[in-house]
Amino acid sequence: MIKLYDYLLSVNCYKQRLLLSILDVPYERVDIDFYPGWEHKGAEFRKINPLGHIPVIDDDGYVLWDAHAILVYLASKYDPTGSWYPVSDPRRLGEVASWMLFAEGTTNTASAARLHVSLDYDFDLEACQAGAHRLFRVLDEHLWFQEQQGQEWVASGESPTVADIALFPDVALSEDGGISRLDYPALRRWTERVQRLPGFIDMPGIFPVAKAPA
Amino acid sequence: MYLATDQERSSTEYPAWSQIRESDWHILAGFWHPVAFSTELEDGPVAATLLDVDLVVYRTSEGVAVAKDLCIHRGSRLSGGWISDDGACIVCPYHGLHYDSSGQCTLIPANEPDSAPPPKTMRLVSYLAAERYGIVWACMKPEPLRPLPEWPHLDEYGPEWLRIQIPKGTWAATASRHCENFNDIAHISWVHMQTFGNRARPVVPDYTLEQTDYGLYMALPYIEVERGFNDDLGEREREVFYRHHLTYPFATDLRVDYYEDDGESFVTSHFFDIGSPVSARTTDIYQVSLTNIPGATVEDYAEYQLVTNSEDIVIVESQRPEEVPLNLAAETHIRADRLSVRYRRDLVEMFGLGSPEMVA
Amino acid sequence: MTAPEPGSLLHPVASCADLVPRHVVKARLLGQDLAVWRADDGFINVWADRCIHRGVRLTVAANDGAELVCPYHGWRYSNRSGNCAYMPAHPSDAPPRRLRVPAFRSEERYGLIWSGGSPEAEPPRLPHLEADDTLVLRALPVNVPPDLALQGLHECSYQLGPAAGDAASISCDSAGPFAVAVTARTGSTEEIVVHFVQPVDGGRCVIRPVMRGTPAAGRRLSILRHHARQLEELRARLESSAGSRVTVRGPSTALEPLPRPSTTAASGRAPQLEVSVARKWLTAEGIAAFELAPMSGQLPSFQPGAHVDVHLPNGLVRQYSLTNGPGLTSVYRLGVKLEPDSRGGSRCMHDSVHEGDTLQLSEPHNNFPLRRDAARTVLIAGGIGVTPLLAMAQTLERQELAYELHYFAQSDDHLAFGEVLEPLSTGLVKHLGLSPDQTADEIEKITHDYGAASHLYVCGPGPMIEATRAIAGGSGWPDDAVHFEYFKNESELHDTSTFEVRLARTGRTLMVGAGISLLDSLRDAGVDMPSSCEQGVCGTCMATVLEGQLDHQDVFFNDSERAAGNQMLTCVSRAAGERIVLDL
Repeated sequence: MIKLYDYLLSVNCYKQRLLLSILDVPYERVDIDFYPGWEHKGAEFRKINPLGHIPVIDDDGYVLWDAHAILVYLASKYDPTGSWYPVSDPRRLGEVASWMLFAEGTTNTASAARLHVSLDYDFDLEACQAGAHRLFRVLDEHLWFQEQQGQEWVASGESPTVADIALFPDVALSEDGGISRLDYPALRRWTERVQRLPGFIDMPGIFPVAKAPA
Repeated sequence: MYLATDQERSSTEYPAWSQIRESDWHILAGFWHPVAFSTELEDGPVAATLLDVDLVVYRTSEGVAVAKDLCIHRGSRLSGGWISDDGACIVCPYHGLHYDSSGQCTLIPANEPDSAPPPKTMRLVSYLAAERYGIVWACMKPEPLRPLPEWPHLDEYGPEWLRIQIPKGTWAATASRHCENFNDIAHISWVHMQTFGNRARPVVPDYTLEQTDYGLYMALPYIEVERGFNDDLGEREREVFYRHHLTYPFATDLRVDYYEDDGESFVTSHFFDIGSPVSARTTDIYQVSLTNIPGATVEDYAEYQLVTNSEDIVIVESQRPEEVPLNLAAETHIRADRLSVRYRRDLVEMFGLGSPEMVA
Repeated sequence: MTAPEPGSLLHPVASCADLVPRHVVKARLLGQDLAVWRADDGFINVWADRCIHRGVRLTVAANDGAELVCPYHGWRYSNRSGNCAYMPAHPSDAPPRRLRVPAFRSEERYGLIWSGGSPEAEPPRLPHLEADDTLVLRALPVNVPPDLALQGLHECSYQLGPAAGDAASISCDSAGPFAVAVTARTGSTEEIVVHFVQPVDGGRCVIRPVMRGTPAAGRRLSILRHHARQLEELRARLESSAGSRVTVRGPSTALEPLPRPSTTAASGRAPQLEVSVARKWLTAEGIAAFELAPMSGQLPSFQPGAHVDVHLPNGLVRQYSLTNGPGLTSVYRLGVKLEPDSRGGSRCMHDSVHEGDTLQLSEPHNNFPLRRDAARTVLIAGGIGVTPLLAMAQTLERQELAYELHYFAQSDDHLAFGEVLEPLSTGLVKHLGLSPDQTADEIEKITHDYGAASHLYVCGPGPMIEATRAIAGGSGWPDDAVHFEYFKNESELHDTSTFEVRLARTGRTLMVGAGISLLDSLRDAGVDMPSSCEQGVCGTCMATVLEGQLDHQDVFFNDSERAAGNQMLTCVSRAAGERIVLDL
């Protein structure tokens, strides 16, 4: 069974739990003693990931770190429909890769602001917030135009991809880092669409949405 | 560029930039508030902000001390300094002036070694300081309005108890909003659905609520959902009993008894929570837990509290107005809110908080 | 001519396309944060973005199609009225009517949602646009004050429309105080875009461009992209030129919420609603159904189990339960059975009230509130007693809560509101043509296995209610799990027990009758008493007592305050003796 080195309050770990839940793949959580032990920075854990970061997965001896890389692996291996990481469609695949890189930016701005505010991490809060607004503006416009073309997800096509998972918590938890989504109505609609996916699971701080109408 | 020649050093104790109303500031300054965990002082002085006043918190051989974070010589921040080798003084990083725990300047290194000691008037703006429960407390008035919270259990506990110190959190919310939320029962079934809340049990029964010499006492049963934070016996409903001891204005000892399936034996955790008003809309949260649950670890229990906080913070930071309306008609109250109604009334009637602005 | 105050106008707050199903749009107008949402019946609500309980933003609430659910304590607020419909901490209480979220106007025009605090203002009607034939372009939030954005649009140097080409002649003209129309002409073709400016607050606005006409499908996307790009350049220019000049000021005009509908006058007296009979039909043997529509404005919302007092043309007052489910908010739907021994109530409703007639109603009252937290909910209806239970069943169905509706009637022809019963089929059990003894046997079967957190609601003829209470009690149902409403539409108000209140300052004396609160009596006498919860919790309606023994029923005072006996909450507490004197 897949082992996920995990911490409940980490957005990057949550992305894995979310995809695993949506794909209905069983896994075992290994809870990292983040505080006060800083276990992920310790020598034992660095044997697993020398960078000292979570999440890490161990899939029957195959060890992989980096949140977005793990999403790619899980979707490629465990999604029989091939739609979450669309390797057979070069154009969509390119878009997915592009938005996954974009998500590195939202993680380093929006989610970093949140860590600063809630766990007192040492980041430049104002720079993180301004950076997040720059990216959200681009993403909101993109999603608005997607809607105009009858598209619901960040990459084109009928169904969501790992890029939606990679972006989702950075956006959905942004207010916790002092980043209002007042100016991004298309982003607010998209986060609700993600929340209505079958198999969706919550993370603390994400407000529940009502069911879609029958 | 320059201050005028008739400008005095510090004309008032109330910081002019504060968004806390001046009448409220003087009242709040009369309470003890946390300014650091004791563990923060291990590597020397630290900076803190209380009621918009920048403070230095330091430990000498005499104990903990709190003063304005301002060397009276050239205004540099003492929190950037260090403790002298003999442990008796804080040393200003600019010219090395030494101050003892009372704030008295004891050494001016630039003076000839045989010159007279610094005059008695040369002292920091120091405040009352105390250390208890692993927390450094300060009071900015010479006569505290109320004593420190009386939590003897946190002073002395047997080996069956595990103490867990939660990392200090900073909430973009007022201390009273935080305090009301910590003592709010009805939200548990809605907000804490990843920790201990039970959506199937939203009803708040008529609970015990008593006024005490320290503040308020509330007691009631609840049926939590255990999700693996307090034991490993799987997700299930679990009877608990809550006892809230709220020491005015912002400190709470929440005792939770977790009943075993026999309905009689139980284990206990205490969740101590103190909000420290950094500024009008910013609050530092000091939390310490004690538990006698067999096998509990610091890491697991800290995670439990941190996840719980992350469920609350998004809600409390979204409340408008940020200030708690002390006019009771400004929000709506139901029977479940008896504690918060009593709390708001007492802040007004016992301490005079929220009094109308004086109009000339 | 001086410019109108922004607060006297309606402004756009969202585009219609923003209001997707089961969503709450976050908006801000003149410094007021707004929660904008469309209910499943199509009604658009523009509310203050603040739960009235503890101030949480309602833009994080869940829109279930008929109610918004606050995430903090699960309070539910009704479509249209904004009334609090349910408080889960106290499931057996009917929330007081005055608990409501401040609501603002909502109008649709040109593909935009318009709102504001003025009850008279209308969205603009412009010669540039046709109401039903517009293309809403991408809106753009800009961090400059509205006047700078308007000025920037007037100096608009941007090339309008990809179709017009570089040769087009561009003209800008004002289209009202908060809009600029930009026209591009090339030969005989003309392209018009009106840029509405939504004043967000002192330092920000949203430019909402609307184009006249519907472009060919193939050109639509390129037009949208062209304008989004042009506006984005304008935004960059405005924000950089405003630069340090921009300081976020408060709005010059605060947005006032809509006055409460006249049905909830500040005095708090039970007021009269004027309705017209929009539809009347025979829904079952001997049962007439009525749909009553408001003569103006919105009908007050209500909770399942509620009734209204109907003032009949013959001068009688009768109470009828509302059968409405959660989606039906535009009319009140009642059912009235013709009683053979009618003394004029049901006879008058059947014979003398016709479609198009006007009736006077009280606002809804609820003495039969429904808990939504039961493990098992059993509804038992006898004949016309089904009416309040229909409202309950539809509410439970809506929230996907399990229930059983046992409907006892003479025959199929006697089942009222078949069109409502039809979709309830899973929870509905019909019991037809049973004798009283057979009915008792059925009720015995229904109630024989009581489980914790079960609740029973019964409404019908008096003997049936009494039988049900006795049978359920015998099967172990506690009293507080059996809820009943005697269905007697001939009931008279009780006003036998009274106490006297002397108002010391004005020297007046009033009598307070049973069933009427002291608070309402004071208001009826013209005393302006503030109040909030009307449940004896918040203390807003406190009065100082000079003389007399008190029957405190609040939870506000502590024991010593209670013992002092010099203050009382007028919403729930009463005189213990015959007379009290208040310092009013």
